[in-house]
Amino acid sequence: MDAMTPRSRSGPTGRRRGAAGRGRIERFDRTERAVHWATTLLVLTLVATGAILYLPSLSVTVGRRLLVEDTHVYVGVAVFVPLLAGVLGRWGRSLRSDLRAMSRLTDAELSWLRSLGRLGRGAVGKFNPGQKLNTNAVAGMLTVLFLTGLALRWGNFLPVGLRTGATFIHDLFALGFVVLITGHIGLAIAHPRALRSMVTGWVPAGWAERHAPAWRPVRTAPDEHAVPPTSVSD
Amino acid sequence: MVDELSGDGAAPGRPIGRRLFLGLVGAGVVGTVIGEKVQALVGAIVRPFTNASGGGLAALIPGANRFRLYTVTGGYPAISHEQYSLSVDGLVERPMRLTYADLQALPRTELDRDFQCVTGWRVPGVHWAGVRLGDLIELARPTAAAHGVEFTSYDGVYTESLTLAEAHRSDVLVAYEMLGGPITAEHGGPVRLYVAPMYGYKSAKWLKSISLVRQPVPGFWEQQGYGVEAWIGRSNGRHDAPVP
Repeated sequence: MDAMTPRSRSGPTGRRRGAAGRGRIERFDRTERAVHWATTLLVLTLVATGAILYLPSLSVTVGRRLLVEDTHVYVGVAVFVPLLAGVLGRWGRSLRSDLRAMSRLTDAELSWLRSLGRLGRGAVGKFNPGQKLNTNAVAGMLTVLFLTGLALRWGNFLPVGLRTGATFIHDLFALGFVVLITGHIGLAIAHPRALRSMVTGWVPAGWAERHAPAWRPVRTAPDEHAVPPTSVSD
Repeated sequence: MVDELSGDGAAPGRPIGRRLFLGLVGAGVVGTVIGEKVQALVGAIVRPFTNASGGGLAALIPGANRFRLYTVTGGYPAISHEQYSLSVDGLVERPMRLTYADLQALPRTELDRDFQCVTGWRVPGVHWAGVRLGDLIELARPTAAAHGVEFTSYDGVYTESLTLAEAHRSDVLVAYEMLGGPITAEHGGPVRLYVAPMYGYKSAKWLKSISLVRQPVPGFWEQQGYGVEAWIGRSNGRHDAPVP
């Protein structure tokens, strides 16, 4: 963990990660990791309970509809709490900066995206354009699920047409959402170094050089335990 | 201890990510407004490919007109036709206990009617067969004090009720067939109630007993806030087309 290793103020050379790509770079700080894993727990609960409510074969196997429904509703209400708590505090500087970065794409990134990655990663920073779009898509879908979910549970005053529409959109966006987070989990498994950085916070500088050459990291550390770049497979 | 980047303030590039986010939220709102029509369209398109019983891949398509299977306990009771028995008791002169075969021997009524759930889904033109509830009740000869009918389920938890007048309607069945065959355990078999003019929660599954009582008592979902008088289109704040 980062708390155990000496932190160095990254000097003019440290910032560029050193000539041989040695040392480590902080990819996600404590706040970001806490937000990520708390949200993960909530979202997995929502997917599980949602599947039980939606899929007839699961509905009849698990039963207990009231309990499953209440769990789904109240976990759903809480789904943005970790993110808001992370963004609003003074501990959320890095998170806020990452969210800002996620919301914008440069022309070079767009070209990279259109070339389906053939153009070379020169323009790719901390987050690649695909990650940026995925983040926004997941956030957009989750927002829609949140709003339609509220309408379904507490929208008795709404015209029935709107409630039927909300049911339809809730189902539809839930399917899209599950597709996206399945892709997210698949890519995380395919890139264990990236996945580990969501646990420990750090990536080897060599990894960053290959995957995110345009990233100008905020915090770096020399790392005597750094894995030699040759053994990195992802 | 942290080097701040100066690059963020300049915010290079275009807010494409944000547009995607807002676009999706907008699509969700528009979809909610027009969703009812879209759903009807989807239902019409996928209908030939769905089995209304709610299983199969069709279960994954949002908006398809199919049954969603609700059970309020852990799982559902599985009762064979041979084991099954239905009691008719309470304020009656002649309490009865009927087997599945007894029910089949009584005059058979068939109906082709929609099944409308209070949560919005509707399965059109479901074929039902069974005994009229009113016929069963008359066989047991209710006393003058009876004004309500109470139903219990083999799941041990679910209850429902009707007024005696509602129970005598010709479109209220003690059903042993639906969707063109014996009622499966998932759908409430071997025997369930089918109250055509009311929302689905009235059509109690795994029907165990029919008791004549003084007044209808709110059932399971009704204790959760759903209307005791569950007329389709005229209750629970909904305006669905009535089932003819």
